[in-house]
Amino acid sequence: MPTERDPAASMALLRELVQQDAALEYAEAARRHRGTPPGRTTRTWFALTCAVIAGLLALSVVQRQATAPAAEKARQVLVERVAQTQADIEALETEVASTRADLAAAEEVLLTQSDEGSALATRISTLEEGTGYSAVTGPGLVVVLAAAPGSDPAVADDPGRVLDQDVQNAVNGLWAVGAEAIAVNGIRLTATTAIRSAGAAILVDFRPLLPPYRVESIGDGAAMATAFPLTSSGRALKGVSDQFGVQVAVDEASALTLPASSALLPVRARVPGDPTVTVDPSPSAVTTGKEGQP
Amino acid sequence: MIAAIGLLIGIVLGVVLQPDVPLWMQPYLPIAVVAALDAVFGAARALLDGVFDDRVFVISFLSNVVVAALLVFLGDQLGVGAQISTGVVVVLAMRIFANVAAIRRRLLKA
Repeated sequence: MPTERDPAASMALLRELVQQDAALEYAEAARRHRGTPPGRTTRTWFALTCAVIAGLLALSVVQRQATAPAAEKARQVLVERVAQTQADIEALETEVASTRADLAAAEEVLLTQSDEGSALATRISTLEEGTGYSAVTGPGLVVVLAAAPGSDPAVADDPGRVLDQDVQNAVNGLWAVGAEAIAVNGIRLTATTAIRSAGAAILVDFRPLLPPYRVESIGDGAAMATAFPLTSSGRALKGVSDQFGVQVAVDEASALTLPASSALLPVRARVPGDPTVTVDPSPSAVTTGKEGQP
Repeated sequence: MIAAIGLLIGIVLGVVLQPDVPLWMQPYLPIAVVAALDAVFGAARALLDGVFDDRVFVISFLSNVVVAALLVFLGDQLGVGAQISTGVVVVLAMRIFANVAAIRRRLLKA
């Protein structure tokens, strides 16, 4: 039984850890077989171990260099994919536009052959203008919304930002004073176009917009300019402008051109003469989730 | 001489072949590298002390790698793989420090 005990005995673990190093192992081995040259097998093993160690080190270095830019590569791939998809979308939109033009030409050829047809053609073109199916031109009113001076558009809770509500107010106010067609930053609104926000971005028709937000409407510009500030939406915009400094500019325009909506899809299509056959677009293509059953 | 040849072969194999480390081996590679470094510094110290022994070098390296890998494997199974890895690396790093300190004392007499 030991009479005196190291008061720091519990710390011996750490000391042992440090002292129990390779030197002890080697010293012991040297005592055991001093002077005997290493055998052939030992030398082979030795070379093999050296090779393994060097291989490990080289491999880990190579691995690090291979994995370090991986994150950057992944980002690059994503950026490329976004660009590719955008190009695809543009190509498809061009195709849609040209197909629509072909369709309109074919319709015109068919419809101009009879009185009934030409009446139908007039009705179709009126409906197309109203629903956003075709581009429209004419005089109107332009409401431009811009963030308050000095506000940071990237900060989601900056009070000087333009919110989706403000864009909605501008659009609702313009509809209320008799706008015939409206487009926000070149995106034509239809009956089912959503105006909403995602983070700091405002989405119209699920496409992100860059400020300033230019709401263009076709109609009687002078009358609309008079009536717009008196609507509840117009007053709400005035309040936002007074309170938070959001810049609201309302201007008449003599000639505006609003494009056709590129996202216009048949929400429900029916084959003429056959009431049982219906064609529904895939749910992802529907712009609102509120369609009832046919 | 034979050590240099072995090193050269190892580096060439590692760089040229660049074998894909299988996913299950990924956590063990850094441990193996640190164990290898430990063996190398221990050997360097023994060499300076004049007591270097091929056999001890080979066996200490292999046993270190095997024990470290086993510990990490066990830790993985128990759900404390990261902690055990840390422990293994800390212990091996302390040994490396001790060996490097001994080498420094011998070489620089300080």
